Amino acid sequence: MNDDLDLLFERRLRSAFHAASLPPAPARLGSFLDDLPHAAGARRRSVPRMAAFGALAAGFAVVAFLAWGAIFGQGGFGPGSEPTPTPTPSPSASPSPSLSAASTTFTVYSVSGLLAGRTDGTVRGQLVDLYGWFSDFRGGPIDPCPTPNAAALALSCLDRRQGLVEAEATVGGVVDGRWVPTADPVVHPYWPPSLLSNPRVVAFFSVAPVDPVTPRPIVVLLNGHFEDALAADCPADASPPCLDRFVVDDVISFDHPTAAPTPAAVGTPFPFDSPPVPPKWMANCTKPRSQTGAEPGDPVAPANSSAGWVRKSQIPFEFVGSLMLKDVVYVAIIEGDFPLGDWREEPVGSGQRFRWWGTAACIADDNGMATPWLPGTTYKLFEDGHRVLGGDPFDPLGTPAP
Amino acid sequence: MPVLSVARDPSPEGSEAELRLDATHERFMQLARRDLDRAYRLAGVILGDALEAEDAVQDALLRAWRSAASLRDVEGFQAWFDRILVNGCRDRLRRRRTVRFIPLDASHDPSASGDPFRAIVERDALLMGLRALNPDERVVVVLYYWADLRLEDIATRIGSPLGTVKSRLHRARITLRSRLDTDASEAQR
Repeated sequence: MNDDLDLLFERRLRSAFHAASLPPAPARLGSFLDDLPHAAGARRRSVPRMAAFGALAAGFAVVAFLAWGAIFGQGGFGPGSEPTPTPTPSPSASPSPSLSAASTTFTVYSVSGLLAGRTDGTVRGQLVDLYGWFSDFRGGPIDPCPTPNAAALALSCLDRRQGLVEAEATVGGVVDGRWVPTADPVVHPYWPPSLLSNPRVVAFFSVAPVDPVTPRPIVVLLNGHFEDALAADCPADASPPCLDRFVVDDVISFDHPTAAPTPAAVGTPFPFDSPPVPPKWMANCTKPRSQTGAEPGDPVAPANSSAGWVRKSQIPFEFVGSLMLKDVVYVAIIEGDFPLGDWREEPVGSGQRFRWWGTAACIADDNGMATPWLPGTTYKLFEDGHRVLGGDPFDPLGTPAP
Repeated sequence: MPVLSVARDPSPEGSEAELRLDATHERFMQLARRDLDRAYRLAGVILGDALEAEDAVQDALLRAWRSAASLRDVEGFQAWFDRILVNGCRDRLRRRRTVRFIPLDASHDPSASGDPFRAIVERDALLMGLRALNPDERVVVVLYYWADLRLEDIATRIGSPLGTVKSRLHRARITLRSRLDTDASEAQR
């Protein structure tokens, strides 16, 4: 390209954007803004039950899907499969109160993902969800703690005895009457006193009792934030845990430690004796999901490892498009690993280019088709060939799934 | 004092939450109202879809409202809000490309006709090339050519290093130009 042509192209591009007269914001947006204080309150507490389940499903999905695989007579999926915390109680048995159905979504972080986000600043100034295993050793016959610090957010000795870790484990243990913290990444959340009267929080602490002897970690999904105004009370020489403490805004969902295991899927997948032919959308199921078509190295003529009609309620994970599909859907699992989209860049860190891969699925009825992947099977494949297992292709930061 | 002045009703079944607008949120409302048209247009150009742009702005307003206390500098409101909005738009583009829902009949798609943002893309061969860009590149192109931001300001808004912005813009130009050249050569045949 010579310079003149470059300049012409630049001008052409800029004028193309500016040639159009664009409309102002619709009146609805103005009304929304005016009503924002109420909308924020209303939507804040209306995180959908299924959204919370969806987040938990990332951890549960593989085990649940193994059971669901019985529908198709198979038991596992692809080399990208990640182990999942076991034993896995049923998320549907959670005593969490049911919430209304409005849809607000938050990015869900694992413990390490949240800590990384705190370090690089990407989780600041927003509400985020944190998923992990919670345990609480604050009471009982352990070595006593000194009087807590004056600043509420300062990480006191007692505070360090409660928190979330990434895998099914506790934040520490008691050895010979002395407290020994875990060496794994941990988030010690701050629970505002005003939150402790929230029925969900009350219910959470009723199943996550302060038990210094045999605490059982509980899967929990919290909503919260950093950069709380309380940090202003931290002493000038405060350590980062005071200035950067994760403050809980809500308990979105948690798992009851005594809940029954997920029942195995049983029954006929389709309610009729002679199931109909697959929806016509299935012809597109194995086509590339990249905007630019197949890339070198993509699977050639991929086939389905399994396919059939199921009740949508039997699918043990959330997927985009679910609400638009009928109650009985046709599901196909693409054999082997499959590219899930286009090349993109690491949003933080190296900036290397990668594509998401995983076990892909197609879920269709006669109106349309959703093309999700199986949770727990995803990985990033970088240009230099190395892989990073886990993660959620919907997560803008690509943090590993818990 | 919690960072958010939104007092929630602790009961999910209870009455609507009462809340108190403090000075921060009053200021937020003023600034957001002033920036609303521009924000909507920015989202529309990035997403190419009016309904989705409206949703994206709503989401961004909600997120921004809840984080209003983290806004220290009034002068920085636009950059701060842009960052929230642009991140949301980029996520939407990624989801759109990763999981697609295919309507049976295009006439059922409410955004198929009369969408001003879709129209500006479809009536210009060069802008049609936006569809070939990945979400990161598309965002940078819109911020640079439509919003007329400097590269440094774009880096602030998308939270990436300046070099990354430059490389995305470079790749996007190559893609757009090659598509334009291809279209031109096909038209000559």
